Amino acid sequence: MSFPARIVMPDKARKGEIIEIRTLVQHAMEPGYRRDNSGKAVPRDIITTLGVTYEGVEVFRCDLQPGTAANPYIAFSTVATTTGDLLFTWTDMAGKSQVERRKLTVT
Amino acid sequence: MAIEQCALTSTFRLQLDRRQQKQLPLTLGYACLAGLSSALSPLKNREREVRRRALRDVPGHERAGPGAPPLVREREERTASRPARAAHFGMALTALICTSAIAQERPSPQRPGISFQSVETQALQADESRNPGMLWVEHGGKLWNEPAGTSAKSCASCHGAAETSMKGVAARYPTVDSKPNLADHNAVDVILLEDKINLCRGRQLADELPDENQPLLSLTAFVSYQSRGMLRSLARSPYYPVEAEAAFERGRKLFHTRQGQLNLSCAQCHDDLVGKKLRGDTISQGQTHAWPAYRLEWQTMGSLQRRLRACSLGVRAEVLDYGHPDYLALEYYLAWRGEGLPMESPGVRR
Repeated sequence: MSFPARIVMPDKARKGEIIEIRTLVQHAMEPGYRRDNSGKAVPRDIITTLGVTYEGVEVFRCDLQPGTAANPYIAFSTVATTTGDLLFTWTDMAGKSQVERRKLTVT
Repeated sequence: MAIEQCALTSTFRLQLDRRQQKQLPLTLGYACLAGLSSALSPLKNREREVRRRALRDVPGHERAGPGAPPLVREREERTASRPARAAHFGMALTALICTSAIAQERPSPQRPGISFQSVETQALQADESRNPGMLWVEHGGKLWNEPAGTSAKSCASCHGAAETSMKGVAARYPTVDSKPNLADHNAVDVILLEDKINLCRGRQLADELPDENQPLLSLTAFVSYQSRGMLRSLARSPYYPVEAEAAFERGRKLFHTRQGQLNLSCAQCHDDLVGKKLRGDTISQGQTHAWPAYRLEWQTMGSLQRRLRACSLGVRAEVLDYGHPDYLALEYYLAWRGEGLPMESPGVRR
């Protein structure tokens, strides 16, 4: 696990229902403008993208820029179509990525 | 500091009309007495009563007290010349400035720390799906079940499910208890929740976690979270009353002692100027029931010790080390100030 993430979403939904998905991920989002105690520049390291697929279909994607606060909270909504997995992928500039999977049951 | 005093003086002038100003020395005399008597509050009731009686026997005490006959008061007012009255006023005001902090020992009414934050921050703290502190709580929950040290025991091996075993524990910390160290095996000291976790790690035969270390913050946040919404209970130690009293007194003294280049005591802001603005922030009562908390300025979770260090820096005083006896005593005293408030951890602060 690269960095811990927290996802809050319903387990079950009716077909056609709009569900809200809230994500919170732990990341320093180092902007690249700071210097450490010895005066050396701290290299920029931020999460650049969050992509979400729902049964293989991309339902949400966003790009993050320097200036985003640490531990970014991103919420979005999608339409419950079929029972399946949602795959959340955060990728940062150091090449680390975090993948989380959540199952949604549609009735 | 001069500005502070000017501000205080002008506030007084605004608040008092002429008639009240004449009575001020008497009122202030009463305030000083109130200050004196409340300064004795940690003493046992019986001792306090004895001292109160002794005070009452001081000659002239009755004359200055609130029960003084009106005739005496009027005569005093009539006979006192203008400069004498001014001098009297000045002396009494100085006395009030010195004693006012001690006069109101515990804030009344107590207000939860979150009530001083913006509506947005309040919402952020209340909503567990958005509260960034929950990331640490969740991580702490994982660590709770992970074996640590050569004993290969996890916290759960002894304590079981934290939801039941740790319920209300954080509300009772810090406490004063035995805290064995390498130099003194029988040492008794203030024990923070962080210290308790490290003492437990000693039993697990695991290394102590350093201060402000992420796993330590996570575990502390996780244990504190189990007490969320519960009322802070009296943080006095039943086993070591003498040491507890000493720590309490030390913390109380520190809270009322001016320090740093700004020459400010904690009480001057967190008792006397509560609700006023300071650099766009609202001055709180300095309650500690939300810690460890996520501070937006830090963009991370931090312990109360870190917050106190930031306070020291704020008044340009010496920033002491983590675990310094002064900070420990102060935390112990601050817990008493917040007795009865609902625990908020993981809190969110500006």
